[in-house]
Amino acid sequence: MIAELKSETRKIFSIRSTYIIFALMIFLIVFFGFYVGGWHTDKLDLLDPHRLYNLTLQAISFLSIFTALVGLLLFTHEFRYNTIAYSLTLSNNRSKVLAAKIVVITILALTVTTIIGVASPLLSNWGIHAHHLKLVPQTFYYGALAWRGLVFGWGYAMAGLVIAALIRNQIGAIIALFIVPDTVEGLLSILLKNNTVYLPFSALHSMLGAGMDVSQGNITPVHAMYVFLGYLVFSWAIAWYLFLKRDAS
Amino acid sequence: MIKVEHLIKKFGGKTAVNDISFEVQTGKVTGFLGPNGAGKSTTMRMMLGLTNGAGETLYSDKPLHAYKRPSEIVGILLEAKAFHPTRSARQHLKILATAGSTPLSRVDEVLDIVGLKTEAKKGPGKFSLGMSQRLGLAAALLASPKYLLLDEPANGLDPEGIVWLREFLQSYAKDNHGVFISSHLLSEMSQLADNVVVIGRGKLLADTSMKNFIAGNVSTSVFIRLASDSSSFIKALEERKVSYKKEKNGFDLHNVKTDEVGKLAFDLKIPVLELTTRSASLEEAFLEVTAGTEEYHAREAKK
Repeated sequence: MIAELKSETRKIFSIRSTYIIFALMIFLIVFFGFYVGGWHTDKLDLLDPHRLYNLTLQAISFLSIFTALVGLLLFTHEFRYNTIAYSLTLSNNRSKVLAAKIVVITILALTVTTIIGVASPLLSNWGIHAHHLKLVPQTFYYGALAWRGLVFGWGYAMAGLVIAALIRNQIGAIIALFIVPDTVEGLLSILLKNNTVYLPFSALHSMLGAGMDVSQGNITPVHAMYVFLGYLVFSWAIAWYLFLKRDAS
Repeated sequence: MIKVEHLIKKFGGKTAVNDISFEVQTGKVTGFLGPNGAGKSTTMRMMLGLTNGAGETLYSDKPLHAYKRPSEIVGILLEAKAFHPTRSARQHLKILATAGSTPLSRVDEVLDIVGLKTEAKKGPGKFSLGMSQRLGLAAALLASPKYLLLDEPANGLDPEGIVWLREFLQSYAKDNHGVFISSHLLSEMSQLADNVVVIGRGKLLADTSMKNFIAGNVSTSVFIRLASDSSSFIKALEERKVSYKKEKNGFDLHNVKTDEVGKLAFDLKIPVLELTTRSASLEEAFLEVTAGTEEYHAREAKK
């Protein structure tokens, strides 16, 4: 398993797209953290004692898709360029290959989410002070921020990976990753109204509670997390089975 | 040895691989032949567990994935372009070495073996087909595996590369390794392979030594070109019950030796302009064996 983990890590950090995605993400962290959430803050917002807390949740909400995209590419590149033939013959167990991808993307997602969670409020605070504005004393719910943020970042990355594992086609998986959370669930919300929170990505956003445009319904963050995990476990069960049984081509 | 036993694969209603069994011996190069669509690539992928189906393949008496390090058992080249185009050749091999628990020092060694050391830092996306094949071979050789499974490795190689590949694979096989190689370059295969496995429409057509395959399917003949009237020669052939075929410039004779034909012409006092043995080629034997099993037929060229 160690060999598979090392190999998957190398795969991520030896292609250009990973660096392009993370460069774009860093730019957006700085832009939204320092400028939009700091320098350009509305004066009324300066009176909000949860300003930085909410900005952090929003940053995690917006930027987690980048890790999901890295995970998706890690998986779909294998099939697009047929390196999956090597991955599956060099390892003595297909499950190890899949588990290694999950572990590596998990570590990456938790690391990236932590960086976003730390960098976002610091950059916003810096932007506010650089513009000579004064923010009221801030209240942070560290525990809630930690578990909700990390579950959201990890959950989104896992969603990207499982979409890739199910679809395998790179273009198809990217399209699915971008349209399912907003377009598909957005359309379904017209039908489901308050029950929209029982859709996977809506549940995930509801759990984070970052002020997304989602009908909240009567659901607690913990409950929302279980809803999302339910979808994730179910999807992974199918994806895992298919990974073991499908022809690798 | 690699023991392939009763492989069966169906795609929908079509049987792509139909109960194929054969062996790949160590110390020898085994050629894998068949027309386009015969099921060669599917068979190779089944041998590696990449394509599912019935039957099993044993590598030195064990399934590939029963080994702790499959990389040391089999090295593969299934597709020349199986790499990420912007990841450098060296990084590509490092990933494979890491996955196979092979020391990273082997990466530069195999790049040197295949002649790609100077291209190691480049992304292989712009490699020619020949260079891509070399990178694929480097990947196959990383862990110095017991067996090599190579699908059309000579495609795109320049003449020097083909000669190098032939010599390399022959010497690799002699070093107590098994080499299983598919190719459409029949003249090359006839020089390279010791044994041959032939399939057509998913069925096994032959599994024998190269020598027996050629000899068993196409007979050698003797060609003679005469300087004068041939009627007495034809009469003499018919008296001796020698089968012959009249050609534009001479005769193609079967089941006789040049010595006998030369002596006959001498006895008949007919001047001989040309007398030669026509050796049967792998191509002829292949066409003979696979006749009617081709999946795809091209239209005849206009003359």
